[in-house]
Amino acid sequence: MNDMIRIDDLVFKYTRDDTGEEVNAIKGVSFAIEKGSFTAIIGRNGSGKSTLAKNINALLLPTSGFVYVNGYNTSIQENLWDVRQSAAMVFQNPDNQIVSSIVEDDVAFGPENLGVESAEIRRRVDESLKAVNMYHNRKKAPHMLSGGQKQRIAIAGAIAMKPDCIVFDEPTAMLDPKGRSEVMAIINSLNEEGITVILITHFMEEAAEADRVIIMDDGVVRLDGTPEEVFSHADELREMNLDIPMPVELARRLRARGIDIPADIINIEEMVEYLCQYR
Amino acid sequence: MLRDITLGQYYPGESWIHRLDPRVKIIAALVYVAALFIVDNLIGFAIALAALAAVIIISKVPLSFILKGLKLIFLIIIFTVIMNLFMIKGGDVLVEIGPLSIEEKGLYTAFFMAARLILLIIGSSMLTLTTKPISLTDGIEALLSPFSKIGVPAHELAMMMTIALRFIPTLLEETDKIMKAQQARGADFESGNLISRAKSLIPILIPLFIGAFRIAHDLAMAMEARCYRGGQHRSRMNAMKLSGRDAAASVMLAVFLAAVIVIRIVL
Repeated sequence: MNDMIRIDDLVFKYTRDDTGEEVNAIKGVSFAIEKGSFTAIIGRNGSGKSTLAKNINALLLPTSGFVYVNGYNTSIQENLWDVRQSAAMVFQNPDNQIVSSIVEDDVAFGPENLGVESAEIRRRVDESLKAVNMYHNRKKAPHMLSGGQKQRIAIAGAIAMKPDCIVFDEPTAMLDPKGRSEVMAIINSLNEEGITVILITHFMEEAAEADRVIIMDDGVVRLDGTPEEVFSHADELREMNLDIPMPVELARRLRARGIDIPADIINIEEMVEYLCQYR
Repeated sequence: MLRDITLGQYYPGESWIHRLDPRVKIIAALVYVAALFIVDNLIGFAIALAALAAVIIISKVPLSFILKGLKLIFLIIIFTVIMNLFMIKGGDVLVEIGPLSIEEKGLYTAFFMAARLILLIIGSSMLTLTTKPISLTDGIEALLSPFSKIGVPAHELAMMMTIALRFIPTLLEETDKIMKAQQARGADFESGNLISRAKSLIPILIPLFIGAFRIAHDLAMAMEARCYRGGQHRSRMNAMKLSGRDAAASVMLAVFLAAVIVIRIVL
């Protein structure tokens, strides 16, 4: 079995607390995510993308259908800890996911919960903090750090659990541009080291860095493919109120004027490179 | 400004006292407080004072720093002393000022009361001055855990304290943000009488509480995602280990307690 995550006809309904109406957040989604891949899931607010992420971590359980993480069915109670250890999660708000008032103690929280032995926890904590380049801040209090730094600690906390996969639920939404690029750099390097990455986002530029982009809208998958394929459906994306990355839009307009730009150019550096050499 | 707040009253240091195991320090503080109630004469107080002085010197916490944090409490002590001086009657009359008089028994009671309270307050604050809040929490958890069999939620209490410590600065920041947002829309927190000032706090408290619940919800989810399942199966990164230092401190504590008891019985 080479799939990290397999989702079979997932349906998720919940009842809103305030109005009591039933909301059908996910209306039948199926896809599989390969081990070691980098998948971005995009959609506007209310598209069901965050609900989907929480289903992968067994924080929410399917109303019908199945989610398998590393072969473990999330609906089976006994699998709960294996599921959460295999697929760690990093949330949007950097403040609200840090438990301890000392950085290194917070990173140790996950492995401590798993009952890992002390010396091994120490080793994992040091390693994880080095991986996110926060080792020098290990003794600091989280509230003294910037948003991007806090989010890196949250990522270290996830890595310390030695997961096969990390689900990032809009990790950059509350960060400034500097924090955002730091976090994206770490996500990329984790993926290079073999961790399966699922990035929930609404920034198209971030999605462009993935191997695969899944566009969710109104509880269903609307588009699924490589970033190049997905971004070529410009009209559909606009109809869903999603921005097209600037270089893709530029390429589209240049093509409309008869300048031939290859379809695989989707980021700014490649575009600059191509245009500078264009004759 | 909010970023600079110190939690508790920890005085950072690396002294012998700072490095003691938090469990030993908590027990020592409890024993010291108990000993102060055993003591009933001058020699006993002299020993208690000497012990405290030794701890303060070894800990290298400046005396001015200790006293600074206790200003308000000293006001209360002075008040108690004055009350005792004039109210407790018995023995020879020492001073007479109009209808008020200070008698021998009043003087003794006032003196012992003041000495006991001052030693008690400084003694127990030495614990919080030399122990990080987080180690204190760990120590309390470890000391309470034998009682978890009879239903004392040791781990839960410690986790609650840890999270409270973690979120005090976050909530302060939130309060600051809300106040600024309200002030930007013309709210006035500074003028008016006490009642109208208290009323003007309501628009701060409501969003603050809603925010706190939102944080609690997010945090609970994040903790679950990191496999939190209460105290069972949990290991610790920094397992507390008693060292020779702690043994030495325990012996000294026992000697101190024995001395206090002996003096009480003998004298």
